[in-house]
Amino acid sequence: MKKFLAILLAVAMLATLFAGCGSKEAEKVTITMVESLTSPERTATIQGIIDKYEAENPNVHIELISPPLENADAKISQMLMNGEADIIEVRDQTIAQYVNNEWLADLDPYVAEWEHKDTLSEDSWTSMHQLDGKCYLVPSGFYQRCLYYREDVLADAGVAVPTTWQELLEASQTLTDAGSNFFGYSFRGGSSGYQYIDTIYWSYIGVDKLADPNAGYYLKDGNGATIFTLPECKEALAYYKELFQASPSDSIAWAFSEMVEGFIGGTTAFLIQDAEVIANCSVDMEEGTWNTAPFPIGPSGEAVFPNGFGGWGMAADCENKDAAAAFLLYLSNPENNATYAANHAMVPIHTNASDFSDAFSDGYFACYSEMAGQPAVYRHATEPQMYVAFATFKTEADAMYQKFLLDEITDDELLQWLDEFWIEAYETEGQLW
Amino acid sequence: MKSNKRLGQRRNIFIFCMLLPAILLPLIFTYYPLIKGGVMAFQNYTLMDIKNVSWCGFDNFANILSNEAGVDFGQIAKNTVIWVVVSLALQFTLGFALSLMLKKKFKGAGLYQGLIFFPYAVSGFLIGIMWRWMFNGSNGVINDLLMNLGLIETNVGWLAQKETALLSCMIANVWYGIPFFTIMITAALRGVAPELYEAADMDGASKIQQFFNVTVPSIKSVLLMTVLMRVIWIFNFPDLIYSMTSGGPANSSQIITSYMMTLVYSMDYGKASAVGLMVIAFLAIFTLVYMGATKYTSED
Repeated sequence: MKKFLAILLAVAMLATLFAGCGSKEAEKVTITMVESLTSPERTATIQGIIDKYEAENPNVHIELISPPLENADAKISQMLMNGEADIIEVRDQTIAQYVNNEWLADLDPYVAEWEHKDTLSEDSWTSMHQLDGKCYLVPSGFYQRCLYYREDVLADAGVAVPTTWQELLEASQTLTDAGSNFFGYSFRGGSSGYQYIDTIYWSYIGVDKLADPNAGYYLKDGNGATIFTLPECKEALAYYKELFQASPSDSIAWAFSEMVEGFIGGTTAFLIQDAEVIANCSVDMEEGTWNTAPFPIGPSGEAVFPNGFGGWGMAADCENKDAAAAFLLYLSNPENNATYAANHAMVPIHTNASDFSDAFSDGYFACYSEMAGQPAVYRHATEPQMYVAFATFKTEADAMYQKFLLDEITDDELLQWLDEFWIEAYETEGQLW
Repeated sequence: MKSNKRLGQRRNIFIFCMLLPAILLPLIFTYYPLIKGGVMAFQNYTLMDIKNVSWCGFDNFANILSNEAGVDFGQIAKNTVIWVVVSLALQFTLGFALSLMLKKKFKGAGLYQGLIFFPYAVSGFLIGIMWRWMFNGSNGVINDLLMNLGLIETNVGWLAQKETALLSCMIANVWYGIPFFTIMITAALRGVAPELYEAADMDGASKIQQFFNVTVPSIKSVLLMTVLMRVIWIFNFPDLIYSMTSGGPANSSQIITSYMMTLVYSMDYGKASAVGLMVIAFLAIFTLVYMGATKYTSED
C-alpha cells in the first residue's frame, strides 16, 4: 500500500511538473542581462526601462543580474565562458578581451534595420565598430573628461580659468599653499594613473601623428614605432612631474575616489574627471563654488582624451538572438538612452538627445557642448587596448610612473621601457588596428 | 544467506553514499583547482586570449624571477618576509598579553572580549578600505590625531611614501590579527589546571617563573600550532595591501600574494598560477622545517 501511494505521489508530481512546462509560461522568452558598472541608482534606471519593455512585450522576461562592481567583469567573463548570459555590458576596457575570445555576436544586421540608427552620433558609430570593423556593442553613453575647478578660489586669487595644460600648471602653482594643506591639482598617481599622462602625451603630439586613434602608442606609418621616442613625450613627462609637484604629495597613490574627494573636500582647486563626478559635486558642494570647463589644450593645439564608453553587447551563443537584439535596441533608443545618460551624467549616443532632456546643453554640461562644437580641437585617442599585452601593461605602468615621480628612474629610462614594451607587443601580436 | 549478502551490499552502498560528499567536495573545490592551477603555471594562459593557450614550460617562472615583468621580485620577497615577521611578532605579543588579561573573569569581561574579537569578524578588504581613509595624507584621522598630539607638524602621506607604505599596512594587519591569537590563547589558558599554579605558589615561584615554567609549557602545542597557522595566513593575506596601497607606490608595499592578485587582475592566469605554485612550495617547505625545528608532535 505504501509503495502504491509513493508511486501515485511521484506520478502526481511529474504530472504537475509537465503541466507547468506546457503552460503559456513556457513560451515566455527569458533574456539574461548582466551589468558591469553596478550601482543601486543605475540598476534602478535600467530596471525601470526593463519594466516598461516587459509591460509592452508580455512574452519576454528580462532577468537583470547586477554583480558587485569590484568583480562584475570577472563574473561576466565566467558567464560568457559558460554560455549563461545573453546581453552583457561591454566597456572600452573589456571589449578587446571579449572580441579576442569570440564571445560577442555581430550586431550589424540588427543595427542596419534599426529605425533610430540615423540619429546615432559619430562617436557612437566609431565605438560600435572599434574592433574588426564589426559592431560588437551599442554604446549606452560616453565618459568624456572635463576640467573641474573651484570657482570661488580662482575668483579670490584673481586666476583665470585655464584653457591649456600650461595655464593649468601655472594656475596650480599659484594656488598651491602646502602650509595650509591646499594644492592646485588633484593628481592621479595610483590605479590607472597612466591614463592621465597619456592624455598629456597626445595633447603634446596631436592625433594626426598617431597610427590610429585607437592605437595611441604607435606612430603613423611607423611600422610599429612608438610615440615614446618623440621629443614631445619627454617634454610631456617633465610637465607631468611639475604638475605632480603642484599636487598633494600623497596623490602619487590617489585613485578615483581620493582625487574626487581631494577636490570636493577642499584640498585641491582643479580636477580632471568624467562627467559622472558632476553628480557628486552637485550633492556635496555649494553652487557657485565650482564649475566645469573644457579639457585643457596642449602645445599641439589639440585637447586629446579617451572617449570612454560603456554599452550593451550580445553573447555569441545567445539562444534567442532576435529577442535579445530587440530589447538591446529598445534600451538604446533615443528616449531611453537620454533618460539613462541624463541620470548618470554621460554623453548620450543620439544627436537628438536634447529633444528628450535639457540636461545635455545647460549648466555644468555646457562644456561638453562647447567641446562638441570644435571637433578639430577636442579630439579622442586611446591606448592600444586590442593588444593582449595591454592587460599586463595596465598593471605595470602605474608602478613605473611612480618610480619616475619618486626619481627612482629617469625620463629616458621610463620612455625606453615604454618603447621596448610596445615594440615587443607589435612584434609578437602584429598590427591590430 | 542471500538476503544477508544483499543487506550487506546495501549497507556498503549506503555508507559509500554518505561518504561521497566528503570525498567529492574536497576533490571539486580544493584539489581540482589546485591541479588546474598547477597546470596553468606551465601555460601561456591569459584571459585576454583563451583561444590561444599553449604550453610554455618554465617561462612563467623565469619571467617572474628575472624581473622581466618590470617588477623586482627580490624586493617583493624581502617585503613579504618583513610583512610576515613583523606582523606575526606584534600580533603574537599583543594577542598573548590580551589573553592573560582575559584569563581571569572580571566585571564586563564578556563585553571586553566581544570588543577585542570584533575586528576578526570583518572582511579584510573592508578593514583595508577603512584604514586607507584613516591613513589618507590630506584628510586622514591619523594625521589629525598626531598633529593634535604635537607629534608631526605637517600632513604625512603614509600610503604614498615608500618608507611608510608597508609599515602602515602592517599596523592595520596587527590590529586585525590580534583577536586570532587572543581567541586561541585565551581558550588554551582557561584549560590549564589551577592546581599547577597553586603548586608553583607553594614552591615560591614568582609570577614570571610561573609564566615560563607553568603557563608556556602547558599551552605549548597551541602556541606552536597558532604561530604556524598564522604564518601561513599572513603570508596568504594580500587583502589589506591590495585595498590600502595596491602594492604601491612603485611596488614598495608589494608582497608575493598581492603581486599574484595583481597578475590575476591583469588576466595573466599563467603567471599568477606560477606565483601561486611558488607560494605553495615555499609554505610546504617552511611547515616541514618548522615542525622539525620545534619538534612538534600531535601529542604535544
